[in-house]
Amino acid sequence: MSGVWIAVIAVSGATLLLKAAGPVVLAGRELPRTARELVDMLAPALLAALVVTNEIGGDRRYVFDDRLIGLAAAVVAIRLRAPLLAVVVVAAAATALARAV
Amino acid sequence: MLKSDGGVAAAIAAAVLLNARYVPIGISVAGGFVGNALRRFGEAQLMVDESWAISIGGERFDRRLLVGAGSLIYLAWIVGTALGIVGGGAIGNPNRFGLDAAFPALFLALLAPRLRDRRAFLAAILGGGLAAALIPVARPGIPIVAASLACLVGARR
Repeated sequence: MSGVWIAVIAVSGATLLLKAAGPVVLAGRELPRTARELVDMLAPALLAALVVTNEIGGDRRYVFDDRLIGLAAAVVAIRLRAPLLAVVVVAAAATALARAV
Repeated sequence: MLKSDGGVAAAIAAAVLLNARYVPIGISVAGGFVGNALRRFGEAQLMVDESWAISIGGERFDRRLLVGAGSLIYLAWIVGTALGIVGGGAIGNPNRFGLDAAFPALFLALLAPRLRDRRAFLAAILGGGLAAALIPVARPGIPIVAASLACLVGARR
């Protein structure tokens, strides 16, 4: 078996377990109040981290490019209370436009 | 990745690290899963960044939305991969259409309504800040996992 297939199988297996860890172990369990309060704050912390890493994250370096134009446009759209899909389309369109000119 | 990083083990480690974020992501919605362990295991596989983010867009985690959005994303990925193999050259780089800017915008739009809560705001600032600070020094994947530490602002004194 080639190295590529070993890697594919190992990574797939590990990812199955990483994804299942929370839902399999913790579901249906009554957590103490402090734990619940911590878990509630995971969503905003992770969403913010996903914004940052998808926006400027490279391999151990920052990447600043036209995605930032899209993010600025998204901020405006969010402030104007545009629906979710509109925010996403506006961000993509603004970045596409910036890349085209 | 296999060639650039020298060795199969290094490639595996890098890829697993990249997916380590699914542990805190899974914990954040674990309470909303139902059914036996096998079903929870299966439905958890439909968790990707985007389906997870969409499923927590409302007042509380919507498991059906996760399953629906997750299935759609997998389907789109399979179709997209097939199309890419058959005629990818015709479309060129999808980033020409700003596709790579769509994802952070999606996450931001789903984060925005939560920021009215003071502690959620703090968690977001801290989580985003931690991730940003670690990008230049840590391997991809670590910044997001580290950002989950920001949930500590949830602890009442």
